Amino acid sequence: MRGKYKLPNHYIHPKYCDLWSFGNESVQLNGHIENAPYQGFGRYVCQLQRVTLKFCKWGIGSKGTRDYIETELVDYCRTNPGVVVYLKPRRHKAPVMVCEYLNGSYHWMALHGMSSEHIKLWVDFHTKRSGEPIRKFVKDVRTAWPSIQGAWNPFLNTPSEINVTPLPNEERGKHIPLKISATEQLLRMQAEGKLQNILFGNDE
Amino acid sequence: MCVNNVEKRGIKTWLSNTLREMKDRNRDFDLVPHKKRHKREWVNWNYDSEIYAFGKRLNEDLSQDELKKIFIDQSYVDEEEKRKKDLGLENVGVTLLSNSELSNKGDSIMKSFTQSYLRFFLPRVPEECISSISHNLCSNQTLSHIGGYIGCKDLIMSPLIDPTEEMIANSVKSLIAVLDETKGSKQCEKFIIDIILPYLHDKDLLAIWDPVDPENKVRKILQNDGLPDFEPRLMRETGRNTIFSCYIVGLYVNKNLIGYGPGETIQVAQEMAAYDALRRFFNLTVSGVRFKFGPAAHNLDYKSKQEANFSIRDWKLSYFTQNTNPVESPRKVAVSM
Repeated sequence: MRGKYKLPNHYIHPKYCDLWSFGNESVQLNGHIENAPYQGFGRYVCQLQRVTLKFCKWGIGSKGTRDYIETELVDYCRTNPGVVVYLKPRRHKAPVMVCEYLNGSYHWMALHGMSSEHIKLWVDFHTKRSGEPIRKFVKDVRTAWPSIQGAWNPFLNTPSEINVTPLPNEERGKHIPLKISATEQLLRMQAEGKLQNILFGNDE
Repeated sequence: MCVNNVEKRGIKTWLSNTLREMKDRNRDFDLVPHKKRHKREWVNWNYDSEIYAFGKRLNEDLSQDELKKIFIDQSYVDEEEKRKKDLGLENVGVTLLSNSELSNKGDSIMKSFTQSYLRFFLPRVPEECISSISHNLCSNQTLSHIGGYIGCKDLIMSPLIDPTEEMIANSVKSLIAVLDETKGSKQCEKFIIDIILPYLHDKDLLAIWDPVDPENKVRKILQNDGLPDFEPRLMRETGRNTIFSCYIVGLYVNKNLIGYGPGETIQVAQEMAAYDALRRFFNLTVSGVRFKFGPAAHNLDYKSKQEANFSIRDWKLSYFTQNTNPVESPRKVAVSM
């Protein structure tokens, strides 16, 4: 116990519960694409609603953030008037960016030691996001209809020749096994001449 | 004399253990969560900027005052009046006006426009279904879902931290009313087409309508056309008297198939067949519903569709098909079964 923190059994390392990074393979989220219901039909609505930049006016770790604010931020606000940007100078604190989205989620990001260009790339990345956690898509398409063909029943896609076939029919009623039986395998091998006498061999 | 009394200094074991335990508890499982605060109580909150961004986000150039009045809820007005009364400052300062009047106006605008939009794209669908879908679109549940995705949630002025569904829906409705007042009905309709109506995309409209007693509805339509009553017939069956039983019942009129459906009993299968027949009559199949959204839908003639569609009582197949035998066409669809 001494010198070690006692962690509860259900403790998850932040590296593995961060929904924003693609993460370890064992904890990756998978699902379908999700977005606002109107997105992609009519007008485009930017899903990023608020950006808060916290930085220090003195520290060297905030140098890039300060450069970004001096050179790029006004242009960013002009091109994206739908995003509210807040600046919070905090003495001797590490620079941080918090992005808040319309669906209620937010993303906290450390900017320590990042250059102005680097920060610009990240801000643009978050401007284009929907705010949903990054997922591995199980399918490329998503539909709200439960099933296009309707609920499955045993007669779905039945061949139409059944309509005029008298039943019971020997051909249709035949049992089709999933695997070939051992007897059937032996018979086939014999027919192909591959069957060998295991005890004495075919040479005898 | 005893000389074994040695002064011990530093952190005592009990203290370090207690501090460690306190830190562990603070870390995860025993942590008392912070008190929930509204976004306006935080440092990074500027209501004017948020309102400005709200207008810009939706690409609507409305003034600050117009935008502000759509977010004033009745509960906020009551709260402010009560506070004034407690201070003894009645009839002092500005009287606030809630958005209840605007939201009533927006509701009626939205209902009438969504109905004419639906009639334009679904000419065969009876009026009962149109009004049901329109009612679903204008419901608090749907509008609060959409209102959350345009950023209404944080801006609503109310004493509650989490605004109710009704408050968010009211703000969306009053936004529509304000658009109609200031920018004209055309801009208001564009907003409804772009933001509200895509909610219907990929939805099963017959499921939204949920017609009760479909067999009688089919019977009524056939009566209107002067056709004989449908004849339910067992098309296929399997697993009788087991829990896996499946029956397929088809409805026939003059030996023509008008719809079929599966079910675990014959009764259920007949009901499903009636639903299928209604789906084919009203063209509510997957390929039959083809809405347009966005700029393609902005300049269509919705005003010609202000009159109600036929009700189920008056609905006739012969209004929409030119064949002498109107029930003949669904049969071709069913052949591939």
